[in-house]
Amino acid sequence: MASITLRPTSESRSTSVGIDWWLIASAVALTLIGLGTIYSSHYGETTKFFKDQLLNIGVGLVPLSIFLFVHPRIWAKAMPFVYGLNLLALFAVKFVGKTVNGAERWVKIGPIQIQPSEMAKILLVITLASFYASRQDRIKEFGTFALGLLHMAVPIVFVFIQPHLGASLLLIAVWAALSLVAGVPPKFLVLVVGLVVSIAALVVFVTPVRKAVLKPYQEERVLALIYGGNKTAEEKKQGVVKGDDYQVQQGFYAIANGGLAGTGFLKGTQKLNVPEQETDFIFTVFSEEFGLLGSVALLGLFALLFYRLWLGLLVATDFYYQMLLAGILTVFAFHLFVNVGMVLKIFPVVGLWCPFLSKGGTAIWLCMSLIGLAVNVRARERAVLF
Amino acid sequence: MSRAAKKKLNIAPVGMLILFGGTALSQVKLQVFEKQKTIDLANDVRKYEVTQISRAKRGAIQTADGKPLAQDAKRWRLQIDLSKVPHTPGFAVALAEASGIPAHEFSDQRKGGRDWAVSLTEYQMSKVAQVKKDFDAAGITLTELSARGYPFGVLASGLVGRQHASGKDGEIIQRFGLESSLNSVLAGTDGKQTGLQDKNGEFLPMRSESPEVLRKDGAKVVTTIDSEIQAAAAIAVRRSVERNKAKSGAVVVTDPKTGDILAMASWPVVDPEEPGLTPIDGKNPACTNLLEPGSTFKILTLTKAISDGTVPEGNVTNCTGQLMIGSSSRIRCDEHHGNRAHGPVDPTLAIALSCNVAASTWSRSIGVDPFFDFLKDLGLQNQTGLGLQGEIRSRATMDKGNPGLQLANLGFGQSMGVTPVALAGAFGAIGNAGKRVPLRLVKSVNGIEQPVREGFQILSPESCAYTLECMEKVMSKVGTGKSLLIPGYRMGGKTGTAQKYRNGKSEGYVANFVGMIPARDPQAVILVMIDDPKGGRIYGADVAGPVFVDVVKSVIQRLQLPKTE
Repeated sequence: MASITLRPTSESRSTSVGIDWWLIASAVALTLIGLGTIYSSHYGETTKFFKDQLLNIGVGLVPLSIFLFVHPRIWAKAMPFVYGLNLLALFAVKFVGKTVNGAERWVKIGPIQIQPSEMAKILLVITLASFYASRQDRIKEFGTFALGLLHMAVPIVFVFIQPHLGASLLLIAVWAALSLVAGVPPKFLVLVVGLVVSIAALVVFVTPVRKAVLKPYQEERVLALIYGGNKTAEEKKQGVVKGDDYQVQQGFYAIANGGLAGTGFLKGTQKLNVPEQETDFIFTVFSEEFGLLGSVALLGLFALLFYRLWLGLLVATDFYYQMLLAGILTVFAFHLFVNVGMVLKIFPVVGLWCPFLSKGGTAIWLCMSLIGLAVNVRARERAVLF
Repeated sequence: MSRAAKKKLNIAPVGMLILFGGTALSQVKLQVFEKQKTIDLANDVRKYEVTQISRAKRGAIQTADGKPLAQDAKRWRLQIDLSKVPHTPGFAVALAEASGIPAHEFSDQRKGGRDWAVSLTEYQMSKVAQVKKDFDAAGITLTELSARGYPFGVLASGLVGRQHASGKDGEIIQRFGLESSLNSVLAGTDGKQTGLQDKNGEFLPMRSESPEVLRKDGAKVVTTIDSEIQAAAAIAVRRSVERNKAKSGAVVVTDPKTGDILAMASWPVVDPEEPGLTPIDGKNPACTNLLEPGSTFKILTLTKAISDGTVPEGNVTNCTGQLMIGSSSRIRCDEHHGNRAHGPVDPTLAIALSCNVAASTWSRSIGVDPFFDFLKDLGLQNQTGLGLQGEIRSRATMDKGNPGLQLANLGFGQSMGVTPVALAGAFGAIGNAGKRVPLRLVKSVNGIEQPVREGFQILSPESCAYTLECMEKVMSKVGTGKSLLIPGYRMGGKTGTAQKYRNGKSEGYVANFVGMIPARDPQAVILVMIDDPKGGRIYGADVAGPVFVDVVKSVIQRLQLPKTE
């Protein structure tokens, strides 16, 4: 298998560089592509979003620096404090949160708005990694698994009731990935995942349960996916598109319009029909303008990023660092595949942005923080090996 | 890390490869294999596509002195989609306050749960827009309506007409008067923008297909109408029609030098505020009625005869009260105190006394064909070219059976039909030293001056001067217009009382008066025609004369004419 032959061994890898430049280069390239695509998304209309994003990236240098320079062990030591901060922020949303599109997600601190559910992603990676690291010797025990489950479950409940289904799923994915990498017996996971899947199936396919658990807009999204985007056979016949499915459908048209080579930068036409195309549907803008070839190249760039993270994960000698890298990789990969998947109608619309590309402060700050942490960890990892 | 653990980690790249591959394949499927199908579907399914119309502002119609005759009064239509507005008492109260709709009415409607539309003023619109913003109420839609205001009301509605909207949304529009004839200039072009409506009901403009049409507002039309002369004429003609129980009446005031119509008033006319359509919508007696000019026409006959030299100035006609045409036909003068005969009359006296025998003598001296050519030169065989809605063509049809008798009748304005406006234009030739300038009603369009039309010399200046002297005599102690004198002003005038015949039967009278002021070098021609007075008085001087006096006073004031004596 190609990926295995690519696996470097500790003997063969270069020892002269402590900084993973490939990782940084791919992240910078993706950020620049994101900026260009945001510029194009409202080209001829407004440059507001582009300027906003530039500002966001500028502000993002602060969290980036924090995670790049603060020793990762400090986070582990401060784990109870970080975990408490996480819960407090999520809790705050319920009281001082701002409601947008039926969900309370934002908290305003001075001039900036942050989404604690986004912050929770990196904070959970850190606290869960610290937790498993602290119980490395008892990793196979059911108690460890149960506590890990509880560790994840508390923040997820807060995120879920905001409601933010996408972020909840992501946190579950982070937990599952970390647990697997940590060495928690898969049978425990299978048990929980099986439970989650049965509940999900119950929710999706049993109407009274669905109505009780899901918000109307979530229900609409789930149904849109199941019934091919149209609610009833009658509406399907008439070709009526509604709500989120409209967004997906328009995004679909935009991608199709791109074809093999794309329309060219700034020349997309269908992109304008996609509502809020600069955020979760930014991939459609890129895909229309750069076509299949461009999209595959973009995915290649993500693959490079993921490969570098996986490399770090593979060669990590420190259990805690390995956990962190696994979490970082999971956050990026989950975001990318779910985002692109929902654009391509593989998954329902769950409101997960595309890493580095989507417009939005908290999103890019999270990406920058994760990259900062990854580079930090990788650099320290190598230093240990010298 | 153990080898087994490392092996486990290899699951990650494999899984990701599968995911990347799956994603790429999905893209290949969409961007290569299903591309056309999807694009076709996109073009096919545009249920969210909406066209936003930006209504062009209709141009105003103004008087020459800048007063609005017709102008847009902005109104907005408020529609409320009850499923997309907050259902709180605060919202209901705020909306009620902003829109002026009682809150209870609104809450009643809420129970009904249906869309609801009402029209708002500009001020209310701004307040409702604020409410929409404050409450984030996407269900409120404000659409601009165009309502038309007519500040002159019935004083000018015969000429200006109106725009009448009917139907549920006022979408059926009928236009009359200048509103109809100038519509192409006034209307402008509605702006059109095609776009999509997002899930919040907000409009997203779309630049890809069907390029937007820019809104072009209608042009402002400035007419030659003088606001005060128009008002004076309208009031006077209405009073005369009502007092004399006449069928209708019209006054036309023109500037003979430019052909400018200073006033065109008539009665009855439609009230522009009248909600429904009426039978007199689109009727303007100044141009939609065909009347006989009667004795007022004698001055044109005389001028033509003198200009052609067929009658010398001062030529005396001996009026025996009747004139035999051939063996079986005759024309007669009106009876005055039991006597028809005017005796020997020179043209001055013949005009002053309104002698039919003399007028027939003059027209017969001109001859049939030259006389018909003359009618054509006067613009009395055609429309005026003003483009007035519903304007009837003035005409005299040659009677092949007895052209001699017809010619004699034509001499004193019988056996022809003219519209008041066309006749006023014809008289302009005498007022402008023989040169007839076609009439003009539109002074400027969107600030661009419309040129005065080229005039044609159809009578000699000397003959016109002579006729004006005769007309001045009418306004003296011996003339039929002696009661109409305004001290200090020399005016020329001519009364006319035409008998209307239909199939040989008399069908009432037309009381006419034409006047020019000042008598030397006239600045204004005033024509009054009152159709079918039934109040006991029928004579031009009695029925049309008072209208002339009211109008001429206004003309003196507006044109600042100096006293001549």
